[in-house]
Amino acid sequence: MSDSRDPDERVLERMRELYRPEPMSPSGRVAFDAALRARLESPWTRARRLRLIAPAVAGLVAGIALWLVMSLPGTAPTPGFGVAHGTTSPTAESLTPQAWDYAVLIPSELEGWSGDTEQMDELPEEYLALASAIFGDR
Amino acid sequence: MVQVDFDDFVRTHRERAVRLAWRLIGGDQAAAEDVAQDAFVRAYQGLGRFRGDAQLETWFHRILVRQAHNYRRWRALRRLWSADEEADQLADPRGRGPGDPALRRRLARALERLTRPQREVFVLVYMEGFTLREAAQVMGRAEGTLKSHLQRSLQALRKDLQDLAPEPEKPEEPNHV
Repeated sequence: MSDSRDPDERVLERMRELYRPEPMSPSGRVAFDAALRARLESPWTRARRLRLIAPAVAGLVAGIALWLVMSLPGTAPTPGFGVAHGTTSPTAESLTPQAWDYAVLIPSELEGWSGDTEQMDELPEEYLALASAIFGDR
Repeated sequence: MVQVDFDDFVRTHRERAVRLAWRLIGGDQAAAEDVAQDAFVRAYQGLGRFRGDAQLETWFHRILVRQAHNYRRWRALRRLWSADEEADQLADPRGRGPGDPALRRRLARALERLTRPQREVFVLVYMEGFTLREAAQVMGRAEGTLKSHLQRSLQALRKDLQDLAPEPEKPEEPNHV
């Protein structure tokens, strides 16, 4: 006998035959019903669990995101109590005459100060005496 | 509120619900049963909101198709997260089902390549026997849109699975002796 159906219909027929699960066995049906009943009777169903857990997870994610954003460079909090405004050391060119005096007295405040005493040796003696009287031998 | 004998409803629709879920998620029996149970639980919990302006069956299948989609999304996420080669395989429908397991896997892969609406309307109409109107109600889309999705899905599958069609038997030629 010839099959007069069009090829699409034959492919679909084969798909319907092949692409399906085995019919549920009687014991499979019983197990399915029992599992479903347990879910329906449980006060702690998955849907309810999700309704409770989802906001908690969302809050946690939001908290982590906020923390990440705050910790990014450039988004650090503005200086407040006890936080110095400029953290970079002044250069010699940027100093006012008063600040220059201070920088000479405390040379390590000057950028590039290496701690060697060659520059100190160039200072007048009275400056050196004053510096050692105030700060000791640094 | 509509009065429903829910046990009776489950008994009537259980088999089809599992089969539909199985086909939508790619042939995993345990997951299909899980999805079907989830859909029944959600339907049961939502019965109070069911106004009866659609058939209960249509409403339930809408929940089921959405649950199957949610399961697929969750599975895709899990695969992405685990980056596990084995998990990257489709659910292997080797364990249970008729015919050649390799062929079933091939069918699952062909369906997997379709878009979501193409796959859903194909399974609903061509495999489960829903009318286009019923499928439109289940999927919440216009019939015309679904018709075009159906045609595209058929084109794509025709290309992938043409060799599945058994050759029509040729009429016997007269014996010239």
